[in-house]
Amino acid sequence: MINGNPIVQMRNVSKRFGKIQALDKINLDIKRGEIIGLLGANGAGKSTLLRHIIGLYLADQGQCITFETDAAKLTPKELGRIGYVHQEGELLEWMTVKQLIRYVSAYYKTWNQQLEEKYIKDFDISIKDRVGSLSPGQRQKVAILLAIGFEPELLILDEPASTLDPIARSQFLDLLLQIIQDENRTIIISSHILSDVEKVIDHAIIMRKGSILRDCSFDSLREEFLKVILTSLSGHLPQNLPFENVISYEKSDSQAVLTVQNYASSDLEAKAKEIDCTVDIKPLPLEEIYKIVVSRE
Amino acid sequence: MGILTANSKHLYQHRRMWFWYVILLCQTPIILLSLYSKTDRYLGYLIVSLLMGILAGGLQKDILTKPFSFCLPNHRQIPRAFIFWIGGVVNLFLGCVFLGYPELSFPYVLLVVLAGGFVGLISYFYGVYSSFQAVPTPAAGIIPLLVFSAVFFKWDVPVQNVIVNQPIVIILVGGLMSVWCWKLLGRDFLARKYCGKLVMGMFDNWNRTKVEKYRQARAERNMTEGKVKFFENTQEFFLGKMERYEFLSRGRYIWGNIYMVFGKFFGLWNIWHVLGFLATIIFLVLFFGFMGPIGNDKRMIGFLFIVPALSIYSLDLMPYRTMLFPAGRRDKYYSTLILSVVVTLLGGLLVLVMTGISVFLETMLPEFSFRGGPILSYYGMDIGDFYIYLLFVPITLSLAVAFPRTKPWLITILVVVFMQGWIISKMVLKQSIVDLIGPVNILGLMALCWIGFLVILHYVCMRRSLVGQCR
Repeated sequence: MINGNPIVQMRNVSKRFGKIQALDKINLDIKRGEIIGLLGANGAGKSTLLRHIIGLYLADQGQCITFETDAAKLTPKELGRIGYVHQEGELLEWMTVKQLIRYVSAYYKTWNQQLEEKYIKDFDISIKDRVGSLSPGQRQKVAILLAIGFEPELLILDEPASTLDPIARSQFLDLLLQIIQDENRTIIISSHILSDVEKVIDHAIIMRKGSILRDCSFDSLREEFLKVILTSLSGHLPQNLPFENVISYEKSDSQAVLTVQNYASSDLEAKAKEIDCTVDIKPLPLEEIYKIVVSRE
Repeated sequence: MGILTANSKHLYQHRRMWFWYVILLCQTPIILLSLYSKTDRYLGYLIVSLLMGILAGGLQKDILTKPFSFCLPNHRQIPRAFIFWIGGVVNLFLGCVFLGYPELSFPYVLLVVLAGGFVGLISYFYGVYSSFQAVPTPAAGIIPLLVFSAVFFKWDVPVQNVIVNQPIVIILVGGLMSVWCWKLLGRDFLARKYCGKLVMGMFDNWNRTKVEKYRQARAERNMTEGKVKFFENTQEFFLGKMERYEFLSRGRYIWGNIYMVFGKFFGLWNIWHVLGFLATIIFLVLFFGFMGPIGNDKRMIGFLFIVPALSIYSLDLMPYRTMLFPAGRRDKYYSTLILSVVVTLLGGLLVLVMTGISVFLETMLPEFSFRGGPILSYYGMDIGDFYIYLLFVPITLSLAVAFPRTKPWLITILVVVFMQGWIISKMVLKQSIVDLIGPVNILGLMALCWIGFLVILHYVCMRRSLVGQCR
């Protein structure tokens, strides 16, 4: 359930690294219980945005409020409610996995021992190995465990599945779906693997070059862009199809496949009837939607 | 462009090579002058050959470890060609020092130059061999040995005589050695041995991630049951300290941070490290104790008050971590501050131990000389110079906090600058710094340095971005 009170608020947040404008006047509200997909190409500013939320980066301009506290002044009380899997995969290399888990768990009163044991078993983590000698996929599994082990209210996952193999990725998604069951938990997941993300998110933020192109519910995004398959009942489609806002189309004598924007299904059906066609309407996969949004803005 | 030409471009395109060129430029005249100033001795260039061998071999080893280079057509034979052409050109040039040898007739002197070049080539190949070993640049350790043994035992004189009197023999020996090296370097196993392997190259000491990875892999190999137990007990000790404080409290984080910084040493530690550490201390105390007098100050060993202060730089005390712990910026500030105090105390303890050892040695070691060489006297550290340590610690800490990304470069530059500055100040100044500035001003300067460190640390912790591109 999405609670109206935002747990993260960003107002006109800008950040520059030398000549690169990493974030450009970002305005964003993240509400409790939302599962947000943060989408964008490399260098779009996703990680920078996430790091502002936890106060690792400070804005050049604007303000970022997390759990009603200025992100620059977050205290252990607020930070103890945030789990973060970061892109770099930085861990304490010299510890064994067992030691690292024991060490990190010592910081949190809410550490869930059962979840830890289940995760270690399900993900086949060898706890005797040194962290420094783990494969990238194994490291990522450990990083995820450390971020979720204390059941944080806000879970920030920056490219969590990028180094996981297909089976581990599928297990991770199952785990994520379990975690989502807690209605009070907010998850922000940044990923390039859009086919995975679309299974779990209910809100999408699309970024490019430090700006937010779209910030809307995933359902509305899926309703906005539709794939329409028209099949002529007479065997021939008219030369000009009566559709506006067509993003792309492929046409043969009797069939056309269109990608359209901002159409209600009923309107599409009515227009198809006008030209003596049957219509099959499908939502676009997130990957297609992402490409359209980024290329058109 | 041929592969060899492309490979040779590393000589000027590889930025780290420039560092070694600067070292070569700085050190070569000193070495050559020390050997040539009083006698007609010509073999100082062997040091340059050795260093060039280390550089050429190290460069090729770095390239061979890159997996893509294994697949490049004809690339597996390139290290040999590269090493030989660099070695040939450099040593032929260096062998020309024999043109200055007195009373050698014209065609004969060319044979001597060639022989000199081949002797240089032998030294060069030793450098190449060393750089291909597991531990980088062990040959660098032999350089001081070569210089000192040349000064005190004059080993170079008979070698020089053989070059001048029997150049053809030397050319034959050098030629055979070159053929052997040519065959050795041309075998495919070299490429297979290094392709994609985690080996430390000579340029990798600046790559902290790789150094850490290498260190961990080695520690993993050397782990025994006893060490695992010790390692785990250490963790329990620190966790026990953490658990004395409330969850999410500053005390818990501070103890956790102390463990984060020092814990790794317990995991890597073994008896050889302990012995190596002690041997290094004793070597430094002996080496610098015999280095004086310089200018008006007999105690060159005073430089050892700076060394521990500079070595603090290598510890990762600062709050630049991507891993998220429940600690705010203010907690990171206090925790780094406490860590700084802890390392200052530990470093101070080390300085006191070194002072104690050197004072003891001063009472024990008599003056002596080798074979009519200069008389060597040992001078211990003066505890009155302890202020130097306390002055340099905050400078080192400030630089480490302010420039975490350039840390390895800075530490190298700092060591060179402070070392040279120390020597120059001893040669130029007529009295000690305390006498010159006055103890009160020294105290003031010290306070200023510590306040400066606090201001920088506070600024970094409270105002600066702490990870990623800001590191």
